[in-house]
Amino acid sequence: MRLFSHNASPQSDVTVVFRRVFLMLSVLPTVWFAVFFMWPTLHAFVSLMSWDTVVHTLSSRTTWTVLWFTTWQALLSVGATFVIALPLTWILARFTFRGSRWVRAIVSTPFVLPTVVVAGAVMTLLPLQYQFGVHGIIIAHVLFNIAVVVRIVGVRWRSISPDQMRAAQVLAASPMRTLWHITLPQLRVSLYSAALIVFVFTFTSFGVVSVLGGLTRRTIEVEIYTNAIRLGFFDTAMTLAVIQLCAVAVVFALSASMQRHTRTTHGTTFQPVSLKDHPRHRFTILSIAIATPILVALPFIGLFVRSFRAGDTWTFNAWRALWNGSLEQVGLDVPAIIARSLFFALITVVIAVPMAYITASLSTYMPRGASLIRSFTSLPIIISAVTLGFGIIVTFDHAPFNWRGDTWLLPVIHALIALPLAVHLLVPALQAISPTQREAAVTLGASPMKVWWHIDARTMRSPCAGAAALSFAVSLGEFGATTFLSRSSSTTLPIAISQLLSRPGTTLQASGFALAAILAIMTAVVMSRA
Amino acid sequence: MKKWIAILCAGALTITACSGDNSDSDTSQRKEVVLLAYDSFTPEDGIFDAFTQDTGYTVTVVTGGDSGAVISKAILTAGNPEGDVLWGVDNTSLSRVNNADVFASYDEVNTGDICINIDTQWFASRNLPTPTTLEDLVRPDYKDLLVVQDPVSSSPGLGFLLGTIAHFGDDAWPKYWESLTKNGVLVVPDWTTAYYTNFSGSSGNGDRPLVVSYGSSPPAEVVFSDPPIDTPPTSVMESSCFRQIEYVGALRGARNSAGATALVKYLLDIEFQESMPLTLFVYPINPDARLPEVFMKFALQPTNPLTLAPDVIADNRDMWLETWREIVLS
Repeated sequence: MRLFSHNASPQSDVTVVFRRVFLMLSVLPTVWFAVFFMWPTLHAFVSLMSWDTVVHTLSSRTTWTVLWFTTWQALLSVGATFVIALPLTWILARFTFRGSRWVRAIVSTPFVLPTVVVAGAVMTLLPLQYQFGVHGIIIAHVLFNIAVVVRIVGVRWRSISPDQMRAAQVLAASPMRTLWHITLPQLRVSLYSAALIVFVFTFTSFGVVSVLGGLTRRTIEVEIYTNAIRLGFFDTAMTLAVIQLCAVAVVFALSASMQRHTRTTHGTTFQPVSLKDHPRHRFTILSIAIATPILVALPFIGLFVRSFRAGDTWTFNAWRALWNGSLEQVGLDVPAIIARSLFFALITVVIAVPMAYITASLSTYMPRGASLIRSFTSLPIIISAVTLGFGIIVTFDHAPFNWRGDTWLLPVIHALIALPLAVHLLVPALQAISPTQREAAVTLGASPMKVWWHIDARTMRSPCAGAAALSFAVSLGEFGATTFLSRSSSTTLPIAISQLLSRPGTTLQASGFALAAILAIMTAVVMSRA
Repeated sequence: MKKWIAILCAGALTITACSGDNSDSDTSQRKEVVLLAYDSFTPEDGIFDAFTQDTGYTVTVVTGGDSGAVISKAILTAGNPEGDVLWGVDNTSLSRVNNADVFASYDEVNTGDICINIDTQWFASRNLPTPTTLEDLVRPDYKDLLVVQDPVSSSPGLGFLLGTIAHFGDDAWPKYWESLTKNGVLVVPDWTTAYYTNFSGSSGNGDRPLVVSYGSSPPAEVVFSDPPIDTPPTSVMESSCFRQIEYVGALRGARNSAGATALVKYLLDIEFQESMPLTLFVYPINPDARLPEVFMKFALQPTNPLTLAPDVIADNRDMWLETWREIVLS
């Protein structure tokens, strides 16, 4: 509908203004991204990669051992996650019962928690001889990724018509046959999607493996860290980072091609049925629905319980040690560390949310450049935080860019890591704003600024709050890049926790459990606001 | 949401203000000297009081993990260090530290020997003869009995590795470590874990009676025994000992370089040097320092320890560590 004559319509006037303004503003995130992400990663790549190191690294038995372990533990994690998560996914998709919302919330919580917290929680359940090994790693990975399966597969499962199942029953098909012939083919794509995501997360796992892996169980990320920091072999570290990048890129490409080839048309979702109407399997269903969240919550209960244990006695010592300064002898001033982590998280929000908003707006108002923008902003996920941290310490190490030990760099990097997630949250919300709303405002005489304020800003208030909470949580729990960058004066909570957890059988480790419990609560509180 | 942000903001700023931020102390207030060391650096209580009285500087000891972690951090912060004086570099890591130009100046501060320690009571109670040579450690009789530290991060671990290289030679040592691995050697990240958690002969009551530790660990067991004992419960395998020399130095770019120099001088002086045998269990470098009796009675200072020339270590350490990781950790 055009209210005006041959001139441009008011709606596109406003859009043109927005486009120009955000194009200008996009200088900010572009410069920030270029300086703190592109430059360190490219510089590290260019200055450290050489044919000789590639040959040397690929011919080392250690590289292949690590690559093999990384792959098989990721595959095993995917399998174990599916085994634990699929029954519950089916239940939550199909049935509703009292407390089903709580069940969903409990099994989804570990996903948003910091890696060192989940690793510490799993550590409390393991007997001493299993504390460092692959069992703990797999358990922690399962805890994290149940939420992924429940989310992705559950949505798809809801859209499978129950009538099909009833038809199969009428034709005397057993439940197994129904599952195999009716349900699974329709779930296939979502199962692959979930499997790929869990695979990538567990393949690039750093925090969990660094805390629970011990000396023999290392993933590529941990090996990058060991080579860079403990051994000083920067070129090997870079080669390993590139190998990991290639592996992840291949997996992403597979996932993208699969999503392109299969059009998922699931418009309708079928409401879950109340459990009271299904007396036949009610007991089994309820037991699974109750047992799974209990299993998920168990490690975190263990975290609290173990923080009060010293050997065989119950004591408050570990908690007292956090506040009475006795941890200063190992260089940890806990109150300052907590305050600092909160402060960094706040700064991260202040940086990340505006940058994400500008980026999301740009991709909304410039649809032709949108996919390019999205690819760039997804780079921090594909190029892991560990690689970024490594790139920074080899790039910002000489004047006038001698920033690698500077405190301000940490929240800047945290914001970079939070950016893809924040953008991912904001773009759908921005795109959902109907252009007719803006059009109506213009007809009522609003200037572009007023249109933005009253339509866009008001609608985006809630998604922006969600992006803020997400960025805050990311910064609180960030471990991969922070291990490279933090110094004594910029220690964050995850760093302190991992240092304390690495001393088995002492009060220090119990203090680590206590601190991990504090971080878990903080993160859960923040994310509940999202 | 905004309310939460405001509350957290206020809280964080308040706590930061209260806990104090001493990273920007001005020049006139620089009365603190920070000594960076590894976890097991436990000097005598009050040993720095005389230093404070003489110079007015207070000494703050900050430990940062095992020797490997402390050294890695020092290398990464070279020129802009986190402290003023560094204790934790030894003859196995000196080349790496010097390549990164970490020190403004450094000196030898003590010597010691890294040797296999044996829980003699464990062997006596099972009527097993104790191992006497490195070759013995790969015999099936001694399967699953040895715990060593990761040479990547631990200086006694690296010292032991270099000792085996010195003993077996550059060609044969990989085979030795393959046999050790097959014979069930346990590798742990640091000395504290190995000695106090896995070793059966100390307070931790672990399950392994053979550990890589120091020639001075037996007298330490006597000194710290409760109830007191007369003879050490552990002994040392003399043929496995590798000579270790530790260094201390003022860090390049330290905030309190005058204090750093003064502290290093104090660490080399008689009072601190004489306190070292019974607290750090090393031999003083200062020739005028006297050794305590329990030390002279029970410590073993081998006359012919295994050694490697510093430049040989410097040239080959990286390659040796890579090979070791391939053999043992794969």
